[in-house]
Amino acid sequence: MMLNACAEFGTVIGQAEQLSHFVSTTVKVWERSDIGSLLVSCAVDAAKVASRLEQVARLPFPQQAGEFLELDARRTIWLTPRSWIMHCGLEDELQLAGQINCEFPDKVVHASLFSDYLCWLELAGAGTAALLAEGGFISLEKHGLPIGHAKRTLVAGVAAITLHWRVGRWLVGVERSRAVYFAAWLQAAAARASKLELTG
Amino acid sequence: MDRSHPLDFSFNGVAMKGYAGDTLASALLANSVNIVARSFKYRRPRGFFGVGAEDPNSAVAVQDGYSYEPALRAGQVWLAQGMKARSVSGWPSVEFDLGAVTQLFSRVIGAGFYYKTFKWPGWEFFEPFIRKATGFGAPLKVANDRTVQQRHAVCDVLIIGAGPAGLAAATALRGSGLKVFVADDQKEPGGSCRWECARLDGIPAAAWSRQITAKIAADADCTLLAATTVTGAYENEMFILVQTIMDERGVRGERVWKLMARYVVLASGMVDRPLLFEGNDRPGVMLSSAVRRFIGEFGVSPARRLAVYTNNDSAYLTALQAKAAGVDVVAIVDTRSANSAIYLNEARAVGITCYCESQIESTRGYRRLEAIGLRQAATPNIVWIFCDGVAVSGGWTPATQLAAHRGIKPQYDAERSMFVCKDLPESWFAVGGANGALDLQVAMDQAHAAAHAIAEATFTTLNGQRCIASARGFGAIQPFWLPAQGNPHRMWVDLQNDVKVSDIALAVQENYVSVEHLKRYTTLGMGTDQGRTSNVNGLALLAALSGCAISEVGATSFRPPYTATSMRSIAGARSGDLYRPRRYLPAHGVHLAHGAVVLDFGWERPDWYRSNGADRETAVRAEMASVRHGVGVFDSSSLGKIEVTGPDAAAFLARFYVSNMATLKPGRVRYSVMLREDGVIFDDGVVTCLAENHYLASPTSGNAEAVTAWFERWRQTEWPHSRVAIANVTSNWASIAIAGPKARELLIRLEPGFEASGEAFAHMEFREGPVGGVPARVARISFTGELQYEISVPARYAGSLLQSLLAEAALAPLPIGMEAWLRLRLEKGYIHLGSDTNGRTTPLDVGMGSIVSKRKDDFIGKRSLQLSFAIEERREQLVGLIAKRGMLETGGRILARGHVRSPCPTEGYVTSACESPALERSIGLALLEHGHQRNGETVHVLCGKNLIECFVCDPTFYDPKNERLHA
Amino acid sequence: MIILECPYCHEQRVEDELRYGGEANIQRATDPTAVSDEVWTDYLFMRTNPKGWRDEQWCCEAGCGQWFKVRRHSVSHAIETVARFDVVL
Repeated sequence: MMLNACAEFGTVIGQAEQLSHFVSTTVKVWERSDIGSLLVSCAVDAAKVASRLEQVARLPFPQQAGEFLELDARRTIWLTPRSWIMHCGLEDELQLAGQINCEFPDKVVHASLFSDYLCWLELAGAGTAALLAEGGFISLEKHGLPIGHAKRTLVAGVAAITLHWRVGRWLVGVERSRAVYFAAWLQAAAARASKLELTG
Repeated sequence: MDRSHPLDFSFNGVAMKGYAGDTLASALLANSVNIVARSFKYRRPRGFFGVGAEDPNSAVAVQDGYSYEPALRAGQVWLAQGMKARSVSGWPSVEFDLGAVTQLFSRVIGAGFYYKTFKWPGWEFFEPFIRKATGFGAPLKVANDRTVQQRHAVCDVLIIGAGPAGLAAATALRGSGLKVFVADDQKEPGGSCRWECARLDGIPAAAWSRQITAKIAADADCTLLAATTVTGAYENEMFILVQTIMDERGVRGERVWKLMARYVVLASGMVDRPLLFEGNDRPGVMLSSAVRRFIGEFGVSPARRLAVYTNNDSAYLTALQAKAAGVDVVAIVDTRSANSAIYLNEARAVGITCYCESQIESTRGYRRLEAIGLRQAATPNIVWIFCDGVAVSGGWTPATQLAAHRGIKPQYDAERSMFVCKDLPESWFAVGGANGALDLQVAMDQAHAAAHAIAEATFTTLNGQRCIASARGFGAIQPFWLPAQGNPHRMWVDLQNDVKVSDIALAVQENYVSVEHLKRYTTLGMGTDQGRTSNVNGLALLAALSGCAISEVGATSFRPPYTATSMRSIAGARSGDLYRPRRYLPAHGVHLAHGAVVLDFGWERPDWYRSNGADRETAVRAEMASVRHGVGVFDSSSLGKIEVTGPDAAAFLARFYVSNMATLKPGRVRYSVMLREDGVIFDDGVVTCLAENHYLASPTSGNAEAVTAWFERWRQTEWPHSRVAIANVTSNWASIAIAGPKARELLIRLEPGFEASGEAFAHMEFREGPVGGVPARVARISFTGELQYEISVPARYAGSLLQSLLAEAALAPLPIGMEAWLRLRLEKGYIHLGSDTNGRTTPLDVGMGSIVSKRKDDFIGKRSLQLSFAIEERREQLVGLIAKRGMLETGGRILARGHVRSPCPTEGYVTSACESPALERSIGLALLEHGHQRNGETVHVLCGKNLIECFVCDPTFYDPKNERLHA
Repeated sequence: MIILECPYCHEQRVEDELRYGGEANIQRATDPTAVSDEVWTDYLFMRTNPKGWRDEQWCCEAGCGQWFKVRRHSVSHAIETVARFDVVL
């Protein structure tokens, strides 16, 4: 017997698939169920274990708040002073968690399975930043969240991990149980934007 | 104004014509509408008094192409094709209002009338009648189609107001690299440039403002928001702006901005304030600046024969402008002497009769002003002048409301006879009219200076030149508060709320001499116009009548919003399904496919399933029976899952739970409660030891985030050296509980990768291993009193797991909803946090006293259990109740001993109740005083109107020896 | 609106993202059993609540989740200091 996996919005699991029911003239949305995640948390100061962690994971772990680093289709995101989110292929999640957890049997570092905790949406298009800004101050920086930066913040009342990934491309991770609400909110916001675009 | 673009609209059902660029007010004036509203109290006829937000009178209901608005001011409504407007006061019509009969009694219904009169039998008896007679329009009970969008933005400088001063500041800052927002509440920026006779930088002000506006709009660093009202100013220079977005059908929507600025230029202008005289509320009496704007911008004269009444020079400009426009200006009445009036000769030269040292003493006309009676100093007779309009100017009030939102009290400047803001926050600059500038060049210089101060503070450079203005100044003012003659009962201070000079006198007489008391006692300035035209006159009268200086009286506070803001724009997107974030189970769709009736339990969860019965009660009973006799499948994914890891994890958890988690061995599960520091139960749940230094805490569904935050707070703030990490992984895992005698059989069908026999996998044990071919965590725990497993798999497998379990037809599993689940646990006597505990319940009250007393070490809340409140005898303690007959209800009060009928003292209440199929009786849990000592007693419970006789018993109604859950 | 720069993630955080945690520097007894009921209830319930400058605890709740200390004026809402939690204000 084998259970089947299913993505939150019913797209093909393990692929980046555009949400076809999302209607907007300026923004496109993909469900990134190809992204596997681990939550790596430290029971001690992160600085004390970072180098060991980097060796076992063969990835750099950012020490700066708001930073994310990418290497070989994997990504490490600073989340709190003692934790990171690691992105990898969905199929690599278990193995990578096993490697890290074997390295730290005393659990000063622990990798929790996290692929299903957050639903990752990729947003792209000219209206993306404005659309997100409807849900809150994504950043209080004058020019917004710089490209290459990540921030956990409230969007539409939901804590969301927002990555300004590339020019006009964003990755947004929202807690899975709230993802349906969040997508509905995005859709409603996009509809309002297109209604007002013609005039103002 | 675009005369080539006519628009049709209607007012009170009468078809009218206006033009693009008109406001509803200017269009109504052009259509000779005299009476637009009735006053609040005496229902006196009211015409236009101001031209915009300051107008106390012109409340109208408007239906445009998108929606209906019940209470707008006509001067703030831009005319659109097909617009339907109507008055919101007056019955049967605004022209003929039967309610106007109240003014016959105006002598007796002065200030405080309601407080003094409607005392017996009580205000609530009269309120419905009084409410019916008041109000400013009724909402329609239909959703409207207006779009409300929200934006969040950050800028360096916010300029409030795009009049000459605001535009001058914006143009000075252009090119500095600073990010500038300019907001103006009018559709076209320019402010007074559009209607005053002035030249700026050598060209007419209107052309200048168009030029500057175009430049600003084209600048990438500048955002010009027209039709945008700054409605509130908050700490840290956070502002709320409401932008109206218009199309040809009227108003398409609103964009609500939350804007953070580093610097603020307040260029919000100023308004005229009226002079008081007998009958000063008659339609036709209007602020002098409003007359200038109606003529200068809209090309409509509010009167055919206009008189001007003033104590300063600005009203002469009104007279000259009106005269130039072809209006018959019949008189200028100036309270000052001839040598104070700088434009006197100019006015006389164009043939206007000027009366200096004169006062208007009386007026005639009811539905429209017909004549004014004036008295010149040293003459005994009243001179009657026939006119249908009076432009009044008694001085100015700078629009400093937004500074007041920030807690800045305006101070009285005796020289200019106005309230100005002197101690602004460092990052604020008031310029132009908002700073009391009475001369255009002064205003422009202030704006220029503000821009330079901002540049200096931000280390940027400006290259613009100072703007040169050529305009006639507003001259000097001689305060004139209260006329010597005239009936104070007929002199209106607040036109909207019908507050008269006599009301203020009465308030002072009754010792309401604080401004805030005066305001509330008389309702002065409490209308939708926020007293823009009435406050200062009211304060001056208060000062005069109580014998102190105006500066000593002070001003009332202003709070957001600056002008009436619709509830819809405040709500924004938060309505309907998006009212707040809803949380869905990962297998939500599968539940729906099985006929789940979903309710909001913090998460959207199945309450019962239509597939199990036609109605709720039948389905719930079928679901309970399947758990007791076969197997039921319940989605418990929302239950919290917090991983606690690290060398100090065990010791850390031990500090939170009443039971000692430090002794928990790998593969074992323990139930306990955790307390707040005051000893009250905060949460309950199980803790699993997955491996050494690796624990999984499972708080209740609603509390996963709160408990995570609780752990994290103590780790960071109290035990920062504890080597522990806390990770909330709740949503990563879907948890499906299977319960019933056949639960093990069902588990085995999923081919678990571990031994599942009763001996190998005992109650309160945990296994990690594949189930259905995917990584799983399985705990053998029970909430129902039956053999039960809780299977957790990554959430992406939730639907498949649920489907697979329900598809095992040979075992006939039923999906179980919340109601059946909670009734099953009630039979077992397990507490449901928040139902069976309240904000006072300690572990001692729910029978965990022996566990507490066994603990030698400290845990959060332990010390508080020794305080007198926790050990007092009369505490409400958890007990079971079995009804002798009848139905117990949650919330039923337990009568005190010795009482068998209510009303009487009570000693507790039913916290949960249901009809128990196992006992075939109604059972309940209750918090009862001395409960633990009352086993076997009979108590009487008042449930609604029924008195239910019950036995008090141990809460464990079902299988007290736990044979079934150990099966 | 209160805006604080979190001393851990260095982001400006608006009120909605923050959680207020009451007065700072409240000492919990190392051995609660050794203190009198009065000392314990003082710890539980008694706060100074001054009009003026006060030291407070705040959490970057929707951000990096860290608790920190703030010296804030209870009338003007002016912020004098924002510091990491281990700093003595």
